[in-house]
Amino acid sequence: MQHDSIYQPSDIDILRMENELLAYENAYLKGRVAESDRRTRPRPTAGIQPPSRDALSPLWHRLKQSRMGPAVVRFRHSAIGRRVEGLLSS
Amino acid sequence: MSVAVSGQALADVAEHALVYAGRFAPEVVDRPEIRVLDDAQAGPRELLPAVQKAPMLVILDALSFPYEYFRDEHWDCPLIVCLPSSLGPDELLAALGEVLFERLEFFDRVVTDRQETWETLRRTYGFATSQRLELNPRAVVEVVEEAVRRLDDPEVDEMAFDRTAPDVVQYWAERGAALARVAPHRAVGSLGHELRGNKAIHRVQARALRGQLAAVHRAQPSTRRLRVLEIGAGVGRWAGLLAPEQADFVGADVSEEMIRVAEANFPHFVFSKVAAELGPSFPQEGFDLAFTVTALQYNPPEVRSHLIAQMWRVVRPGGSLMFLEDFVAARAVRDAAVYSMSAQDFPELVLDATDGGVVLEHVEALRYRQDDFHRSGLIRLTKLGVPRSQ
Repeated sequence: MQHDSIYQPSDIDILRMENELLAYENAYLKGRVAESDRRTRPRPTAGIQPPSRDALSPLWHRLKQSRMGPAVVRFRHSAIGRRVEGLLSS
Repeated sequence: MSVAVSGQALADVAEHALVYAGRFAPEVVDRPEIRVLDDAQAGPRELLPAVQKAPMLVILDALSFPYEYFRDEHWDCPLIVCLPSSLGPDELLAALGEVLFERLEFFDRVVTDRQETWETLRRTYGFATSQRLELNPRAVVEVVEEAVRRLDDPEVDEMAFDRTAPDVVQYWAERGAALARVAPHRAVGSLGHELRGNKAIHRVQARALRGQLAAVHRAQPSTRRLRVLEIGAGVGRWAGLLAPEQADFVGADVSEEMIRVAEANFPHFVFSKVAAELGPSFPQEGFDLAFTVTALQYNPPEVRSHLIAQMWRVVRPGGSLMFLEDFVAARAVRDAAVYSMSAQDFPELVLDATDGGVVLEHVEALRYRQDDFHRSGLIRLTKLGVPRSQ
C-alpha cells in the first residue's frame, strides 16, 4: 500500500491498520496504568519518621515505656498536663 | 385521513421516513415515502424496531412521544421534531429539556415558528441555525414534505467528485460549493452518504470530543476564555460544543461556501477561508487549543506535516493539539480523496512536525455502529515550551 497516494484499502489493509490503532491505544493505556501505579505506590522513605524537633518528645517516650506509663499518659492529656507541656515548650 | 400501518408493514421501514403522528394521525396524508405511527403503535415492541431501521423519524406530536423507550442506539436516527406553539420556551425546556433537547445533535431539526423559543434553545443547547425549520409545527403536510425532500434528493445522490484529483484544495472547494447547503451531512467529509449513518458517526465523535474539551477546559484558568481553532471546520458542526460565553472559536476551511454556511450556523463565532497550508493567517501562540476532525486524512503527507507544524505554532505552550482522524480507512471510498494514515506512523509525523515539543495526553480508538472495526482515533497532546510573553 502506498502512503503517498489515494488508495482503496483491502481487507488485509484494514485489519493491519486497525491493529496498529488498537496497539497504539493499548500502549498509551498501559503507560497510564504504570504512571498511576507509580504515583500511588508508597515511596521507600515514606515509612521513616522525620526527626522530631520537640525536645520533650524523647522524655515523654521514655516515661511512657516505664512502669508509670499509664499514669503519665493520663497526666499528659489532662488540663494540667497540657498546661505544663505548654509552659515547658514555650 | 389516517394511514397508520400494521406491525408487519413497519418491518419494511428501512426506506421510509417514520412519522410519529400521535394525536395528529388523522391529519397526515398518505404517501409512499412515509410510514405513520399513531398513539396506539407507540409501544416499545413496534416503535423501537422501526426506529432502528428508519432513515429519519419525524415527531409531529412532541409532547406525547415515548422518549423513555429510547436506548442509546435509537438516537442515531435523525429527527425532525415539531414543537407545540402553545407552549413558551420555559415550559418547553421544563417538559422536553432532559428527555429530548439535550439529546439532539447537529443533524437533527427542530420545527418552531416562535422566535423566542428558538433563541432560547439556541442559547441553551448551542444549536446551529440550520437546525431550525421555520415552518408552522401544525402544518403537518408541509413538515412531512420537508422530511421527504431531505431524504430523497436524486440530484444530490448523483453528485460525484473526482477522487483522483491531484489538487486537494480544488477538490474540497468544489465539493464544499456543491454540498454545503443541500447536503451538509455529505459535505462534512464522511465516507457514507446517507444521513442516518453520518449522524451515528457524529454522535460517537461528539461524545469523545466533549470529554476532551472538558479536560482542556479544566486545565484552563477559570478567569480566561478558551481560544479554540479548528482546521477544516466545514459547516461548523463542532462549534456547537463550545459555549459563546466561555470560548472564542475560529473555524478555518478551504471552501468558501462551507465558510458561508458555518457563519450562518454560528454567527457569534469566527470562520475564515484559508489556503491548504494554513500559512501565517493566525498569530503565534494565539490559541489554547487547535484541533482537526477528519481533515488531515484528506491531505497528502507533506501537507499534513505542514498543517501539524502550523497548529503547533499557533497554540500557546501548555495548550492542546487534538486530532480525530480515520486511521483505518473504510472499504467504500467511492468519491472521497482519502490518503492512508497509519496510527503507527502518526506519532513520528507529529514529533517531526513539532520538533518533539509535545506530550501525549490521550489516545482513544473509536468504533462506529455501522463498522465492524475501529475506524478513528482521537489523540490529544500538550505543547511544551515557555510562553513568549514571559
